[in-house]
Amino acid sequence: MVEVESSVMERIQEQGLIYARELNALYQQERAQRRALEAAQRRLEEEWASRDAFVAVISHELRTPLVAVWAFLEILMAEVGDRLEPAHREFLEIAYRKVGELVRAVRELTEFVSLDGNRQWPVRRDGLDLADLVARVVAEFIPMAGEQQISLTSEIAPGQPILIGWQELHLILYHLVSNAVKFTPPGGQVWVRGHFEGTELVVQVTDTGIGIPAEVQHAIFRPFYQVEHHLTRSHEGLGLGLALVERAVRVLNGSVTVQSAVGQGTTFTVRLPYEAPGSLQATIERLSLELERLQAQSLRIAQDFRQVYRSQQLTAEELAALRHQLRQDAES
Amino acid sequence: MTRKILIADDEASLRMLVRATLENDDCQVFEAQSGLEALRLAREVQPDLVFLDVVMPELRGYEVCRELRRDASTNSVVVVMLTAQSEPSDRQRGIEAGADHYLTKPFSPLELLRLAEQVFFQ
Repeated sequence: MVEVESSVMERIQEQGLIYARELNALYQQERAQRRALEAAQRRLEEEWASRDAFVAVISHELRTPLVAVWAFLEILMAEVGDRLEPAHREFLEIAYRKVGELVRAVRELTEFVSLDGNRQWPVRRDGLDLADLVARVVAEFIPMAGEQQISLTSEIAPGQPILIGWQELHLILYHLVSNAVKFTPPGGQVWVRGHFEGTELVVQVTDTGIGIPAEVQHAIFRPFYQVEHHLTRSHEGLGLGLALVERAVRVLNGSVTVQSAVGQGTTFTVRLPYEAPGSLQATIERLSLELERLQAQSLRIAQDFRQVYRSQQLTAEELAALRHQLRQDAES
Repeated sequence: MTRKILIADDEASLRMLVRATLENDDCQVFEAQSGLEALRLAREVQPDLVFLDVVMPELRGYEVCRELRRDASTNSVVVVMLTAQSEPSDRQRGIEAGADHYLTKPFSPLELLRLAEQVFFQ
């Protein structure tokens, strides 16, 4: 009996050694990755600081004064608007509206400059929950969509948090949703859908809007592309939204495509490669747990052995019970 | 720089497990089957990290640890007690003997790897 059980024990221990060597190798690999990442992170921190400083200067020099003017105009309208002649009050309102447009345009410009394709800006990759980010972007546009009686919904396939440049992804979503809501007539619908395909994140923004004629679809991602070429409308903006989307997609090494039919609607599809954080780490942890389990099993069997050795004087029934216990421990 | 680890346990399978988990190009593992052998090897190879089983022939883990701390050539080594017992009083005895860490069998191999990394790289 002892021979049978000790062969079980040997099998467990052999398995344990195989796992332990695998764990050892994976851990070395993970440690090397971790150290390289830490070194890269330190280098990037410095570059991020310069990017942030650059964007901060632009924003400060252009945006801050504008926002001040905007705010003062708003105060003027509220405080003295009633006392002005209707024509003067209208001038004030126009000024307020136009400055608001300028504020948004400067925001787009700032984003555009910070995504300058000629500068190799590093991407800050953080763990991100896609559903969370989409929910935040959708929430920003709910009031605007509501005013225009547009239904705005999102469907995100559940998944692990992913490592991706979330500032860029936020910008992509923001401008695609903004575009969809802008170009969809009242009563229409806008959907944001997201799912994972292998190592790619696929995001689609679909609307039932006016659509983009086939002959201009190639041009819509150009910076400052003037939409009045195919749409006579009064939508504000610099025409940078889709150019920004295209740049951000490029920064993240992804692709963006458009499908559209005039009068039926448009779908933008963005594909972005991502990393699942800690997949190596997850394997390491699984292996370690499995080894711990094997260890516990062999410890239990060893304990049973000791009892067997001490059991020379046991009765036949007691021996049978012990044998049963040994088998159970070996199988568990 | 090659690091050295000493594992002292009378169970061959446990020594093999520790070796398989920790040994690599930068890290050499030495094995001792008894408390006395552990002391002798520790003085000879000057390890960076020692795992000591509590229950060993000749000299128990606690005594080995106390001896290591007494000897100027080995008193700065990081000592981890390994034991099947998990009574709080055992932990207390290990700490009193001068152990730095205390692991209860079955231990997590990942914890072993993290511990070694912490000892070697900090």
